[in-house]
This record gives sequence, structure tokens and C-alpha cells, in this order.
Amino acid sequence: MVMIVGISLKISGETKINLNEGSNAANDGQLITEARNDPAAFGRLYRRHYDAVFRYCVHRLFERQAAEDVTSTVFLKVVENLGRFKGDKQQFRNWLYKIATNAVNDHLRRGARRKRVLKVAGEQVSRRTVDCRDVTDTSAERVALLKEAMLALKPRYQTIITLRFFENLKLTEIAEVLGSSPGTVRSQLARALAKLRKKIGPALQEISK
Amino acid sequence: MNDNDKQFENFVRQVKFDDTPDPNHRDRLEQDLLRMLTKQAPQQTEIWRIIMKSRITKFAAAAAIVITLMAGIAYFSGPIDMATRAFADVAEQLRTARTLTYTVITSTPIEGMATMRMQIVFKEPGYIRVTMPGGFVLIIDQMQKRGLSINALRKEFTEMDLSNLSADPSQISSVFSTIEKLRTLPDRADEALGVKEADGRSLRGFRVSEEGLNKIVWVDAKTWELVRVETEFANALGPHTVMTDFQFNVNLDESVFTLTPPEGYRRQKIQVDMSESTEVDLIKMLRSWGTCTKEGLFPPTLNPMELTKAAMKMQRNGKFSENLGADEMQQLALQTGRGMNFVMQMKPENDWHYAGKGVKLGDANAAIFWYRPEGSATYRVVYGDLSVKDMAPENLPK
Repeated sequence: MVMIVGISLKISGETKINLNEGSNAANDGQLITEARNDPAAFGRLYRRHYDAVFRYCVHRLFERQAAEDVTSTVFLKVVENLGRFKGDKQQFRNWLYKIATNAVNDHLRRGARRKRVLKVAGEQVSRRTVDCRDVTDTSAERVALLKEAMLALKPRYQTIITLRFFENLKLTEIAEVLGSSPGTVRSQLARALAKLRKKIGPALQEISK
Repeated sequence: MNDNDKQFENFVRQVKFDDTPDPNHRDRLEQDLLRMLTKQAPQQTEIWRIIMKSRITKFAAAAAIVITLMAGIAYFSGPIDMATRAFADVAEQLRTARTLTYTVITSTPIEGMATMRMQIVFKEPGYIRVTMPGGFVLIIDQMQKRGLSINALRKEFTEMDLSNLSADPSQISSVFSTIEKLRTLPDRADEALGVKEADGRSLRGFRVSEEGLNKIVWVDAKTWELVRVETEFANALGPHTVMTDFQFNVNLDESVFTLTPPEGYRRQKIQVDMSESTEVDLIKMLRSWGTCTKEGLFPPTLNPMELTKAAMKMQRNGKFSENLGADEMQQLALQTGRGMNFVMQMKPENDWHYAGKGVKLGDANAAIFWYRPEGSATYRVVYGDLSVKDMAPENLPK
């Protein structure tokens, strides 16, 4: 899933290992430098990171179309700001997540305001929900439950949960994405989980049996 | 990882939904980005095409064009963003404001087009009043889907029925989308610009680049009040906008947004279709230009800024038919707005081209516009007689 993250966790539980992960990571630093002036290098860099960014977006938004829109936004930002990026390959990955986090939060906030205005105006808005093709009813229910519970959290908590459990980042890495300390992230993760348990407690219990 | 973590991780592992990236989107986006990178000195049209890929920018620009044409001025406004705690506070203030007033000063690179100053008054859930110099007022009531423009100088008013006006403030047809962008700021800026002194105050600046738009937000360094917002297109010629004099939650009398016209003024009434534009609207626009210009020529360009510039020059040089009255000119402006909206809705994959410069209405041999509709293997080609044909890519005009 995420070549530079290492062994990736796909949320279906399937573990995917990218055999090129090591060499990709080793080359990323040079690629970032080249990508500033070389479109072909940028293309390679983009291909390495597109899937990770898209998956992060879809895990946050639970909606493919919106995730694609936000992914486009993220990479447009990367194009606009790559010249100012001064970090290494690890920081580049975290930088991407940071841009994606901001873009997702913006998208959610605009959506929330839009819904409020629509409600005031007394109009209906059709809401596109998660694409549940080829999933069982039980899984679809879990997705719906997870979506409701996640989107009820503060954006920061959503980010931490997604980066931790969907993107499999360490606490130190999440802290870097959020510009915070690992200790703060740890306590916020605990609070976020506690809130989630209130929403999806019975489902969690069922899985634990 | 403690038990809570493990339990939740197990839950997540058992949730399945479609998160497989779509290779088509990945490829399309890559092409767009590479096109953006490889154009060191891109054509204006190309830049606009890339900018208009962005739904956000597209909405802002399209809504601005509608206002521009209705008001007869060049008014564009872009979105605004921020970054730090101070920004978050300002963003929250904007987001939750019941009412909002501010001044917009818009200048363009178009020679001869004056800098325009406007007062904007907004009230939830959907009222807007725009006041411009010369006694021009535009009021929109989103709930009633009606508008009123007042021209005090000419002592006339125009009642507008806004059909198909979306209640969704972010939608392309909504004239509120520019304000909506102002009110939905992101949390973080791309760059902190430091502090500068202006008008006896210390201002802290933040820059955000968003999909072709540069936005600079200036906040009072001591009080964290929003002082000034500047927007401009990053790589394309376009209007430069400065917003100042922000006031939040001012009590506004209902009369500010009344649609009751002033007494003793000459009345006009127009229907304004605010729905998303289609190919038909572009063809109507092309026909209008062909019939309203003395030589029967199509527009020289479909670049919005260049077209505005060209239209002003043509008017100065008497290129439009002398028989056109104010109503006909207004219809031409509205039709141009809808036609241009269609062009500006295009995504890069629509691969649109315009070759109508110098072509006269009725020339059945000249292909003047072609594009590929979404998901189509063939192109739609519009000819000078305004007939339309479907055509395979290999048969397109060179």
C-alpha cells in the first residue's frame, strides 16, 4: 500500500509487502531533489505516493469521488510547493500526509457548512456514501458504523486514528505529521479511542469474542 | 499496543470497503500535473484550463463571471485560507458569522479597466448586497431565487428571476460561492510571512497557494483580528483582489436586502438561468457574437480575461452592431456568461480547443470548437454554421 511506510496494512486485514520498498525509499531523497526541475522525476515520485495519498483520503472521507478530488488537491499543492520543501525522504512522506490532512479537513469543514446552509434553506441534498461494491451486508454495516463514529470525532482525532490504524504510522511519525509531541499524540489517541468505543462498543465486543 | 488498540485494530481489519485506487484517475491526474510542470511559459488558455480543473477555483471564477457580466464590471474573487492558531480563530469567526460585511477592491491587468471598489453585505442563510460606485446595487435573495439590480444613475432597476439557482453555496451556479470560500478557510497556511507595519498597525501575514490561486491573509498581530485578504492567480493573468474593512455579526435591517424597487425608476425584468451550463449555452453564445458583431465574427478568444479585454476594445472601436440596445447588450453579456461557464467547467481531460478567431458565423467548413465529453471516445466538433458533429480523435482538425 505505502511503499515508503514499509510493510503496509490494508484495512481488509490483508498484508501487502512491496518488494521494491527498500530501493524506493533509498532513492526517494534523490528523486525529490530531481523532481523540482525534472517533470519525469516528478512523475516517478508521484507514482510512488499516489496510492498512499488516495487511500489515506478515502479512509478519512469514506467516499471515493471526494477522495479523488482531495488527492488531486494534494498533488497540485505538492507541485506548487515542492520547490520550498527542504526535508529528506521521511519528511517528504510526512509532508504529504500533512498536506493531505489539511486538504481532508478543509473538505470536511466545507461539507459541514454546506449541509448547515442547506438545512437552513430547507433543501434536500443527496449524500453520496461509501462505495460498498462487493462487500457483505455485515461489512457494509461496519463501514457505516465506522464512518458515523469517525466523522463525529474532531478532525485531529480522525487524523490520528486514520494514520495509526489505517496507514500504520508510529506515534512518533504521527507526531511529526501533526507538528506535535509523541506524548500528546498518545494521549489524544487514547481519548479518540475512548470516544469511538462509546459509538461502536458493541461491534468491538462482538469482534473480540 | 494496548488491548484497546488491538481491539480497534481487529475491528478495522474486518472492515472492507473499496479503497483501491482508480488507475484512470491516477493517470489523468499525472498528465495534468506533468502538463503543468512542463509548461515553463504556458499559454494563458492552457493555464486557465489547468486552473479550471479545480472545482473550487472554477466555482469562484464562474460565479464571479456571472456577477461581472450582470454588473458590467470585471469582478473576480478568490478563496482565502490560513494556518496557525490565529488563523484558526479568524476562520472560526468567519465560519460562524451570522452577518459579514467587507470591502472588495479589484484591479485587473486589462488596459482601460478601472479599479473597482465594492461593498459586500452578507447575511445568513442566503442574502447578499453588492454596492458599487455610481449608484449600482445588486441584491440577491437565495431563498426566493430572486434578485434586484438598481442603477441610480440611470434611474432604472432590473428584477431578476434566478431560475435553477442552487441552494448549495458551493455550487457553480451560486453567486454566493466566493463568500462561501471566504467563510470556509482551512486550518493552516503554506507559509508564514512574518510581520509588517501598515496603517499604524502590526500585521502578521500568511500565504496559502490553492489550486492556482495565491492568497495572502493579514491578521492584526496583537488582536488577531482579520484585517486584509489579497488574492491573485498564481500563474495566469487575472484580477487582483483585496478585501478589507471586515465586520462580523453587525445587526442588519431587513430593508438592506429588500427586493422592493425604488419608486419612480424605470423597470426592466430578466430571467437569469443559473443552472450549470451546457454545450447548448456555448452555441448560443457563439451565435450571439456572430449576430451582434458588425462583421458576424465569433469571439476572438475563450480565455475569460482576454475575452473581457477584447470585448472592451471592440466596443470602443464600434465593432458591435449599432442597432444593439441596452437589453440586447445585457442578453449578450448573460449569454456570454453562460457560454463561458461551460468552457470553464471543462476539465483537462475534456481537451477543448477554440479556433473561432476570425471565423464568420455561417462558415460550415471551419471547425471552431471541439472537446471530448467525459467518458466519450469521440470529440464534439462545432462548426462555423454552428452544426455539431461527433468525430474520432484522428479526424480532428490539425
